[in-house]
Amino acid sequence: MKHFHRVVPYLPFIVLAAAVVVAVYHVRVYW
Amino acid sequence: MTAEPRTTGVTESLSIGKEFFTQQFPIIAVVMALGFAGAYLQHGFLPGADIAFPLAGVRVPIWHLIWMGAWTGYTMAVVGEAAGIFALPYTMSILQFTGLPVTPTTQLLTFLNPLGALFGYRRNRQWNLDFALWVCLGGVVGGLIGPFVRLTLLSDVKPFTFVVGLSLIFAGAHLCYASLRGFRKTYPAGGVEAKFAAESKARRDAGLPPTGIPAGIGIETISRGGGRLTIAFWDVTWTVSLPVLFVTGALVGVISAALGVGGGFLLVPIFAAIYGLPMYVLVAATIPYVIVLSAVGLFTYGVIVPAFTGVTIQPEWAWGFFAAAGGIFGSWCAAKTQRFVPEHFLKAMLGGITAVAGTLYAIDFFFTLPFRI
Repeated sequence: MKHFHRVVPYLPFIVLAAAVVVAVYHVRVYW
Repeated sequence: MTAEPRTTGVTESLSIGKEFFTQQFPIIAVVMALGFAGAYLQHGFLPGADIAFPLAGVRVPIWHLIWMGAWTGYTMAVVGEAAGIFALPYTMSILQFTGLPVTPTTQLLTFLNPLGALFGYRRNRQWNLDFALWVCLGGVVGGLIGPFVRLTLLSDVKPFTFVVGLSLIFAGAHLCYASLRGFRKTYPAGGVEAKFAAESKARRDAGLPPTGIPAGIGIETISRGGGRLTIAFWDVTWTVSLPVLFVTGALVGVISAALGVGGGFLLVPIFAAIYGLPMYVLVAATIPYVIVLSAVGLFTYGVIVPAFTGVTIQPEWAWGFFAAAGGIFGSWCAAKTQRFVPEHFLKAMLGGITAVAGTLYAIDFFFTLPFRI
């Protein structure tokens, strides 16, 4: 829980970075 | 003393886990099952990474649709917006689903996404049917007209992406403005936001979780009549004009149903500008509005448009359900973690991204860009 609380403030930025990675993967594989 | 935080942490994680498995997981499982059922009933097979979605004409792994719903639902809900205005450009530009069915498909997402939030706000008593009624009636009118606009004026990809671009610029500018206001902390004295900031600071100083609104406060109807409605929340009152609520709901509804978004991105800044209504009160009207507008929009695309024009625009049901399953999970995560997140910084960042994407869409209408969007 302690580690979780430390990560939570950065979660939206981690999620956005992951979204960019997945988007680039999709463009390279499926376009 | 040292054991106490650990016990609290374990209890907290247990209660969050219990809440997820008893309240959220069953809904997500049902929506996922509807996705599989929708695919087999609509197409007779399961499209995905290997077989293209027939109406969309593109191959997309199912996990990617769930992920799209989850990340757009999470990031937008953290900053108090709905997923539609982010999911639509992602669907168009990254997943390359740009045909007419994209509109009812994202409308299915905007219909299902706020259902969880609706029950939450009802429990919190951020609920007033007198206030919601006329906006929702406007939404019904907008939901009936919008699909015809999509089919006539916005039937080609270029004008459609141009209007999506303008909407994104508006949404991005609003997010940046809200973040600037948040950084400066310039709230009118005596308003709900100022009270909220003072209350949450007092609670934080007392070592309590910073939930700004004291429990048990609801949105009350003070008076109604002569085309005007007076509502009160936390000792602050607002008088709104019912015709203005109706006309605004109808105009926003036409644009939103034509694009395939929920309309909250337009409704929130308009009501905030006209009446100075804070977000905590606005959700009582905007959440039911998004659900009503999306439902009427879906009905119009599926039943009324074919009856008048002979053209049927069906959504990719499976696509919408899979994205909505992720969206429900993402919105729930946002509700649980929102108070720990640097909201104003995130608003500025998301506002910037949205505005840049919108500007590219708008420029692409006049000049062909050297890359595909």
